[in-house]
Amino acid sequence: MKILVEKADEITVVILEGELNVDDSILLRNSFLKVLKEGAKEVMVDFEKVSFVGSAGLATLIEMMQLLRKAGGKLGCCNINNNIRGLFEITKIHKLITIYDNRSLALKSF
Amino acid sequence: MHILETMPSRPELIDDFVASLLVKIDQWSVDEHTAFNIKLSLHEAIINAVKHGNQLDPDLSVQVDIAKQGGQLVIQVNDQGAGFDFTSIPDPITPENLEKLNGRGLFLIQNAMDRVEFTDQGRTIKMMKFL
Repeated sequence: MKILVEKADEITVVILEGELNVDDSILLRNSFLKVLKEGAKEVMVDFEKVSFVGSAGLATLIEMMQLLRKAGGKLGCCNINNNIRGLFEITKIHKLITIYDNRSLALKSF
Repeated sequence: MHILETMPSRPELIDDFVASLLVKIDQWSVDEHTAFNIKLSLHEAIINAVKHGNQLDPDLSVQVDIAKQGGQLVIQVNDQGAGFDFTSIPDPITPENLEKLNGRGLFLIQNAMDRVEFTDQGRTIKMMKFL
């Protein structure tokens, strides 16, 4: 998986490319801990180029949400394809993490 | 056509192992949404077998048996662990479990497949999907 981190004003955008499975969830967690350490409070994860997410990836997102909430921040996700959005919905993770249709809408509304 | 593959209980091998199985399943011309669900179920069942079944013991293996029977795909994942009580699995979408970091794998499988059964005291999960 490729992970690119960009800043858009106060929002840290984490752009993922590839699959969020067992090994890649560890990579995402490490990247996230780095941006958290650097003081990020509002983090948006862009899933446009993500084709697969498993339970390990979902767990990493929940942990990110919890750590940001503890730090007074928040986590959002955008550009999620229908298969992955379905996983967010059946596991009710969409009730914990706000999902936006695309990045520009996300950055305006976040 | 029948696929029978085995892997040692090493988590770092799971992603490549699943990818190799999907290449073989692809011969049955599975649509994109079904392929996603099969991939998800294989991933989760093998993770459970490696981590919870075989307790990450690299000397124990996980066997995957895949067959097309009529209009459905039948996938069996077997571990060599002590088995588990598959009748008392916590529901991961209750308010008290919603933020837990573990416990979603089997729930995802049950939603992705058409039928799921356990045999051999929980050491084998049998997952069926209509194609």
